[in-house]
Amino acid sequence: MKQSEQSGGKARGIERHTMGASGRDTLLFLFPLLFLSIFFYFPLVSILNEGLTDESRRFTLNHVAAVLTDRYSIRVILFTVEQALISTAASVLLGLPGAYILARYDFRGKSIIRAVTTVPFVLPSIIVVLGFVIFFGNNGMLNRSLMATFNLEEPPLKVLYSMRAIILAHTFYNFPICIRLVSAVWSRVNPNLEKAATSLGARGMRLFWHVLLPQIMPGILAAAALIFIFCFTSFAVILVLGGGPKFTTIEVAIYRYAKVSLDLKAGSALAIVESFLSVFFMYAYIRLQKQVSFAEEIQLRYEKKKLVTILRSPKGALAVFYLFVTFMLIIAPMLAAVSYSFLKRSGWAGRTTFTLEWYRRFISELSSGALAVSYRAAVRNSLFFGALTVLLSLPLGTTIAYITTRKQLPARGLIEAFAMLPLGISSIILGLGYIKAYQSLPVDITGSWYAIAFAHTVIAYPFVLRAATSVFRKINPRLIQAALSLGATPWRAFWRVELPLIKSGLIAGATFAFAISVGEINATLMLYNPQFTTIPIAIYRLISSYNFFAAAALGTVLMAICFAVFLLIDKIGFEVS
Amino acid sequence: MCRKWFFLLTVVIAFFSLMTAFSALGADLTIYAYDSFVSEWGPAGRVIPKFEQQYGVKVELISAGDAGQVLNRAILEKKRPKADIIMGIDNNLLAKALDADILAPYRPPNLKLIPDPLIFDKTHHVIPFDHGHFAIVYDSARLQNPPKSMDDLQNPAYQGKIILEDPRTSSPGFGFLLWTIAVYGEDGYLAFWEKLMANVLTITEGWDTAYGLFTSGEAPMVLSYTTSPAYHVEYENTTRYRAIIFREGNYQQIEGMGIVKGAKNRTLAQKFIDFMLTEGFQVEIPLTNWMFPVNPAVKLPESFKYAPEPEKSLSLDTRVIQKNQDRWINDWLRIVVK
Amino acid sequence: MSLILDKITKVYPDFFIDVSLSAEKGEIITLLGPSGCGKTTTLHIIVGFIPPDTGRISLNGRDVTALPPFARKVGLVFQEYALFPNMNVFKNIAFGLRMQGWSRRDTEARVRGLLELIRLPRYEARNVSELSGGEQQRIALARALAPNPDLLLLDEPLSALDAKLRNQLRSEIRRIQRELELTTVYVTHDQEEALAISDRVVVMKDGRVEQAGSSYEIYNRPKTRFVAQFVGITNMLPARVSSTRGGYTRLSSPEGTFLTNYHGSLEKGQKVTLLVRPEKCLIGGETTNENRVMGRITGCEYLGDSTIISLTLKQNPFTVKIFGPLTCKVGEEVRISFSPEACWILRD
Repeated sequence: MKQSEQSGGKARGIERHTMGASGRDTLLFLFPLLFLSIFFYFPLVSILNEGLTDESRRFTLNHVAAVLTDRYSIRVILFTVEQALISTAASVLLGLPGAYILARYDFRGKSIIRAVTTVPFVLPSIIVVLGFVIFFGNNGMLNRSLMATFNLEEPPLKVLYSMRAIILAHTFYNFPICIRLVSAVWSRVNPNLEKAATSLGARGMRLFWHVLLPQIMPGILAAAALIFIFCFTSFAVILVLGGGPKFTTIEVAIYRYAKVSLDLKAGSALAIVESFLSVFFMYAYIRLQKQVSFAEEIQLRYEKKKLVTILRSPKGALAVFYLFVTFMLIIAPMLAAVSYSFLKRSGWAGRTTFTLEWYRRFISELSSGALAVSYRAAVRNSLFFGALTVLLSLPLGTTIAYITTRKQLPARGLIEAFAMLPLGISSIILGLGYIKAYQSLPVDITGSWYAIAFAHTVIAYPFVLRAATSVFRKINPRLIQAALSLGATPWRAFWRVELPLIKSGLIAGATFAFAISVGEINATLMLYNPQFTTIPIAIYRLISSYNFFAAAALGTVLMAICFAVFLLIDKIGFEVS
Repeated sequence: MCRKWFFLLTVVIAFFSLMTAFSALGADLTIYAYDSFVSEWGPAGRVIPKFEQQYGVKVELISAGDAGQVLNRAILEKKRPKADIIMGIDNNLLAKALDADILAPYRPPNLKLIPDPLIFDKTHHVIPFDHGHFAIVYDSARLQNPPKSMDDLQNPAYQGKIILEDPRTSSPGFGFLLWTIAVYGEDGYLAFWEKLMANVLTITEGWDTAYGLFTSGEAPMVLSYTTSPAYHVEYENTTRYRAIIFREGNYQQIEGMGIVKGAKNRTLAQKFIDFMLTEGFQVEIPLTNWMFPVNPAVKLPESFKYAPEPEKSLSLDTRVIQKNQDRWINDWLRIVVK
Repeated sequence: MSLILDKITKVYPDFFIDVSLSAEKGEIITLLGPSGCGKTTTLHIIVGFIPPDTGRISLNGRDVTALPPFARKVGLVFQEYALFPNMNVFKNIAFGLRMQGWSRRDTEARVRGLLELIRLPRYEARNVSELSGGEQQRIALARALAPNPDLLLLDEPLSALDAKLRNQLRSEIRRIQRELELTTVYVTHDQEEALAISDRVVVMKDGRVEQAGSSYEIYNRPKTRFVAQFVGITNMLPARVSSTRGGYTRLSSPEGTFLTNYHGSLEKGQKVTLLVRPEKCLIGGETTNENRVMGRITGCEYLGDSTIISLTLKQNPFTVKIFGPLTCKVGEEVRISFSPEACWILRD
């Protein structure tokens, strides 16, 4: 009886309509259900089936047990965790100073640095690898310039094809995430806490350790969890930079089982193990994230000081140096890749010369058609799949978002979890699922363009879902009530009032979906057919044939596409994650 | 709004279908080959037009990765094969190909052009088109005391100096594994590998990466072919890179091609194989594929003088490989990840 | 009867509603009560956002209980206006007309007419986010009125505005409503507003109707302690009926004896509470009022146009409100007086 009118009103204000009454409602529900069942859950179940049954189709844990006891598999699993842990620690440590600077200081060019920290979220992993190899490789820009400057015989920084390479690539790719997430939390720490602590005598390290660190810890943990997941499921980086059997992760091992040794049973068993682990980590991250977004509710912000004020001091010099290094680490490899696209080398150890040849290839194909990689086809295919992904994932994600925010459902939390499941399952496993699920069908679906399109859709739609959900939630329910009271049916109210309001969220979701599709390599590598090569796969093939210059050309095109996409997202100002 | 979406969807799909339809127009023969064959430095650019002109047909040449990936793709498409010919099945992959039963036998009438020892598939599912031997190639500018035998490779002086390829993904890699089994037998090769691993810098996925690392100075030794030095003589005018002939012998590789079971264009495929054995095709092999042609009538280029002839030619029986390869790889894996 | 709520109930786990009320055509009734009393819930039931567990709702003779909101022809105005942010003034007002399929010409004419009515002519193209609170509220009103609803509902429409604006808009709403003769249900927790704007006031507490009646009745003849205390300040003195002779009720209490002209059926010796509004009392000076008590001043609040004086009688506190200022001396003993007409009695 003590309900406040306000809260009672909001909670019961517009009771969610019960499902199923109208035909439209059933259609609404059916479409995502059917799509996801066929193109996500059925393949997933096929893998479970494959990995958990023996030849006579009886349930068995033998395969899983074999995976968990086989020395090679154990090594693979351990290595996956090991490299992810080290990469995460390195990324967090490298990112913390940046988070501090961004949270506390204002300076010219700050928006550029902030914008640059979005890069890991939109840059496809294959570009990361390409840039890394070109910049840090033994034959890369850094080494060559060092060798030229200091007149060295051999490259001084030998990093490629080893654990070091993997850790470095992961760190370079992920530390901006730490900067971004932790600075968001840091800038919202109650400034009065620090003032109170200082007035009580705390300074410097003690201030940081006892007062600040507990406050920013949720942000650090969330960033660490996210980075760990990225590193745990990292594929392209390991595939290219790993130094062989010793440096294989679970993803790569599954890929090998599926594509090289054609051993679907072992692949499925390993996939089951990985899925457990990644869903677990995903869950941990979501829990941590909730704490962080709690913090974002707080309105108090730090007063930022101008960076120029401390420039003279060693602290300031360090800050500037750090910012410079950060910028270089993120930008330089990509610039190196772009510059490489204008070079070519004759033979294995010949000279490098300037050329526009790679770009010419986009315009005219060689007449005999006998080219290992058709650049034009790759670009055409990537754009096509990107467009299809957007067209398919938009209705899918929006429908589910609408259902979960507006309709009364039993066990809504469970439905949301199921809808977001593709985020926790690696796309390698998805590809494997497609191969297994559809191999016995009369229609040859793997290797077809629609398989790739559907796989991309399943992978990308959770981002549309998240974007749509967050925008749906922000809509003032009174607006819908007003529309209803003015004679609009719920359907019309949605089209005329809600949809225009969530447009910006939908655009953000769509651009994400496009970027993800265009940069996707994992599932595509599993499913593609030489006729449907995409840009990332072409880049990978070119890197594998040690043709970095051609790879750089394609990489530049891909970067241009991603850059355009990223500009669009930034303009809409959508907060990531 | 719904209408707009449908419209967009149909436009996108129609546009794409049109574009892909064009490229697949009217191919009379479809061949799967490995990347380096199809690349612009490979033989394809020279031999395919010759065939097309001679028979007035159009050939579609699709590269599906390296030889192992080509075979895998063909196996995946078994029920509905897209290719007429698969190229790149060597004496080591033969077992897998035969097991998967994806090829149709064909005995070309001009098979007699080929010396009998090179016909590694007596059932004629795979017809050879080139051959060579694996060898450790070293950079004489960086290594003054190269090994002279397989045994020598274990010498601690070579710590971290060897680049190898992964037998699971690379045919030279697999060839090298078989080479060690041929030398040390099933009982001894694992012990050899245990010692060898200390000297291995890295195991790469494919030959390209390995050789690229080698030429950029990462390590002074790499597993490659006896013909590799010839390339550098021909194009870079240097004799710096040399191939080693081992005391115990070098392992042989013979590459072949076969007609796919259920191929749509069987007659034309047979003609292609016939063509492949003639000089018109074989003469292009040395300087583009960097292997020895199977047709002995072809004159070898000058640079091939720098491709040494092995004293002993090693190889393992197909049936033996077929029976044991999974176990060998698993055992090898266990040693390597220790 | 334009609006009838007949035994409407709705049960929640921690709360329930049990309401019956009615409104005549053209009447403004106000649901008045504290937060959590159920007035907004009742409103939502009338609109159709919440289906009642039992009871019937009828509008202009039509039973609308089973109808969804968009079929009921009610206009709704919210506290926070809820104007569609992506539409301009014209599109907002025209929304209901669009739903009904009005022609362009008719829509334009109607919107123009409404803008005149709310005294914001030529605002059609303006962006709603640029308007002030008062303007937005009027647009919201126009939007609700556009499709000719049978009933107008306003849910605390003025609480987001400052005091002066509130008063202005209050009269505006009243004027418009009168002009249109539109039955209106008004919801507010501000009792001054309720008294000013309504034809009848329905006081609610804990999901139930405490009392329904005219403003005068509610203020001067409260039926329960709650109504008496919720609406305005009132003094309450416990007393016993000493006699009911001659149509007058005499009370005796520890504070003294009082003469009231209350005409209810009371028994001698019955326990009652005497209610006296502060503004009906006098302080000090000459008086003809029969009821007199002595009290000691404990505090004064000068409000500009009046002064509120807090005092203590023998046992009870007492409040008096007088016009103008007063030189206040805390602790001073003064005489308070009020007439029999100023008294009201509540049975205990």
